[in-house]
Amino acid sequence: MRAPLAEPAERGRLDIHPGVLRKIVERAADGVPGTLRNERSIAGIDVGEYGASARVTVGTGVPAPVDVRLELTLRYPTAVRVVVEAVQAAVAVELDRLAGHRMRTLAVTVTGLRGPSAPAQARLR
Amino acid sequence: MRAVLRVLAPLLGIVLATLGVLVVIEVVAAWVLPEQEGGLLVPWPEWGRVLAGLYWNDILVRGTAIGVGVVGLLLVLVALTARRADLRLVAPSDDMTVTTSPRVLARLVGTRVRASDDVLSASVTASERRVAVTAQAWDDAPDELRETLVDRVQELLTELPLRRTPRVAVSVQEREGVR
Repeated sequence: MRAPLAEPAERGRLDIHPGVLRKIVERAADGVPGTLRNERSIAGIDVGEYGASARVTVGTGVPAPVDVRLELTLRYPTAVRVVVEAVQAAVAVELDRLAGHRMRTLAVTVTGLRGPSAPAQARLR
Repeated sequence: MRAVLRVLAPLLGIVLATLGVLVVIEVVAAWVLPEQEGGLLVPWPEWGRVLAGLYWNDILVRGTAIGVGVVGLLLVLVALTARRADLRLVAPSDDMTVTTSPRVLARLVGTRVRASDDVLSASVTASERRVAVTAQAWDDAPDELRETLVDRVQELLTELPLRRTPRVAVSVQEREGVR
């Protein structure tokens, strides 16, 4: 005789790798107007570009809280505080919508403030 | 101090790696060539004899211990003082921290200073407490150029959401020759 099935909520578990959360955070931050992408070059040769860089630490609890450290290049002149606030909102929304995680803290390091034309403009899709 | 650390770290790494390689060579040589008298590259049997003749209360042992302790403390001091000197920015909410590097601020100040037609070139160093600008001006630059540059830099600093506004120091050097 077959054993009775467990409750649907207890039949498995979903773990999302921190690398996926990192990608979600970086993509959300890159999509905020006012953030910029940088050209990546090796020995002066252009090898593409990069945007926001994130490190994600997942805590314990339900839903699991997430601590995010984010490095950004911002457009200048622009209101740094407004852009950072928009980034915070976008990252929190995307983490909740795509992964069901709650952003607990956000530490932003502004690694560059520059005009939009040099060297690359924000790529928004 | 970060520069010191960047030089020290690879040097210490190279020294430790070299010591490790020497140990491996000597151990392998002792296995393969047991009839060899003394070490292959390092005269460790001789060192062993010297060490065997030493006592804990010898001056040499005490001096070496004190020297190693002092060097270790200096390394700890260098490591502790070589923190990143980030500039804190005003954060929109309490659960956020926003920082930037002195280099970013120095670049912004440099761009603002060099935008003046009377400035030929400029170098900037920035920290949380102080922004220092050394500008090279054309010889026909107005006398009040220094004050103008100070105003420009201070205007820029007020535009940024810095938690602590640094002091501004501008020095202007005149360049000989015509523009």
